Amino acid sequence: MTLRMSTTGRMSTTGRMSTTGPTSTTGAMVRRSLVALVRQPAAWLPGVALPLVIAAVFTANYHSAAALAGFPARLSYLRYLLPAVVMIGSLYAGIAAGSFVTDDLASGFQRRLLLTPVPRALIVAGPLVAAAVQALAQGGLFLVVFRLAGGGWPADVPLLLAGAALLAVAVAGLAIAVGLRTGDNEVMQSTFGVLLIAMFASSAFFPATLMHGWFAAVATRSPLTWLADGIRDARPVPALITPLALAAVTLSLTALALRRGDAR
Amino acid sequence: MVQGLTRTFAGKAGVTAAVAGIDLEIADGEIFGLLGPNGAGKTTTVRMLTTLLKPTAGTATVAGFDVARQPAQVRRAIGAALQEAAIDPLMTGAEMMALQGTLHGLSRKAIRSRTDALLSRFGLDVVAGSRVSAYSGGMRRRLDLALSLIHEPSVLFLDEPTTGIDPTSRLAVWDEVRALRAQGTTVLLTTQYLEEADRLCGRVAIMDGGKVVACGPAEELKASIGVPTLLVGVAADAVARAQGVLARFGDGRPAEDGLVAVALPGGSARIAEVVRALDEAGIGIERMRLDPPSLDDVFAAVTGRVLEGAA
Repeated sequence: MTLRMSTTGRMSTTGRMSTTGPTSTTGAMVRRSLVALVRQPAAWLPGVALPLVIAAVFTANYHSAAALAGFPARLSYLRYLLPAVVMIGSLYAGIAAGSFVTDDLASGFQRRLLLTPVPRALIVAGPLVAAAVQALAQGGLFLVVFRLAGGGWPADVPLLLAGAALLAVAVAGLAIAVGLRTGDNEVMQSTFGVLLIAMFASSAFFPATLMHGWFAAVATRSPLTWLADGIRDARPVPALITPLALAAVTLSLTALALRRGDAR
Repeated sequence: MVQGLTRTFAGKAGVTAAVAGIDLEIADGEIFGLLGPNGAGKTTTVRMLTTLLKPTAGTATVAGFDVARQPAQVRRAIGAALQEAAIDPLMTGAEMMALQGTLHGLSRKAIRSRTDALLSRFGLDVVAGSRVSAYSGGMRRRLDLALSLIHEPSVLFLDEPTTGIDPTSRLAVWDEVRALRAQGTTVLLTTQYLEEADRLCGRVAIMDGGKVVACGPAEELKASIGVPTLLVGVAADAVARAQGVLARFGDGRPAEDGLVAVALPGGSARIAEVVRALDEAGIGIERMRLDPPSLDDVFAAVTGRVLEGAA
């Protein structure tokens, strides 16, 4: 059984391979993701609105929690909530990256990308970087809003933003892996609900020291608690290592999904 | 070189072979047609040859590179416009061309000149700055084809490139395929349209059930059938009787509803004889047509069925 096609491999006359390399291809993929993000407000508007609504509702109802014994004495409830709000924004940014990939699958555009000679990893580089940029932009906005609302500045602004960006990449890795494996945007989106529950089962909204029983046990062992507390207490190790470790795991899942699947 | 190219899929009904062994050889600069009904294995074959799908067994060489072991080299050498236009509705036509050119390693200067030339050639220059979501179906297919050509591939795969598009866009695609032939580009074209294969392809392979059931130059394949088809339109209640009368002249052939078809050795010289026989049997003739051998006849001869899109 033999199929032989055009064995000469004729070179083009367009000067390809002359001036562009991995940097420009990565840059092109990132630029495309960012442009698409800007042109699709539905991809980023909820990530801005929902965290601020949560902040407003929780602060209005639970601000007196700051007076409880065991609550960090130096913080108002609004200030305590800042990492949680930034982290929810990061969850949204990560899920938006997953949507980007499932949309590409649905439109067939991912197939076109797979037909180019760039490594498959580069195909997801754009959405991953866009998630980090979106998380940074949202984080900056939340900082300004909290400052205007009387929440003051966190102890370490760069640490908060870095943690937010890394968490967005970690969530994007998970969302993209789920999207690639299932090809189903609804299934991919459902990971947001799971992650939001995980947020509530952490010290994001209340100190773990004020919790009891199994809830306290879960919260003290949650990586999201380590991240939120690390940002609040300006401790770089938990604030950076935690999302980095999460990102390492989820990006491995993404790589596995890229390697395993034939193109849809 | 390819040996034993096969692709199977596991499903609830067991393992199905979408491509169960094809044997083709396509020369440089040739326009080769893969013809067959839905489910024949055409698209699966193209997906394997373009590295989108791993063969279950066998190997294929495209532009001198093994599709399984050297996929990046294959992708660098090929262009592909697959069944549905693969485009990003949020981008403009010009942005998509630039992205595609960058991913294929073209310089900025080359991207600009190729984008201008291709968009103009496909009548898309006036909408180059518009988002693709505003394009019509035909414009999307033309953009898809332009995208697949930006890096001047030596081998181009076109998977049913004109299915579902308007006649103007179809003619534009045909013109482009002819121009590519003149440039020496090798084209593998899958289609359900016999006319398309007849007009564009030097050679065709007819696929059915994952296998190649006939292969060769279209004219040779048609000549191998050698007998024209007589189609006679009769009243619905006379179809069975007409089939009986016509069976005296040659083997029956598949036909659309309301028509009775028969292979007619001798062709036009025997039409008067057929008319007399039908008249003697009291069967009124509503219409009559003598078709020269077509690729559909070839398909019917080797599979016993009418090819979709043949009518």
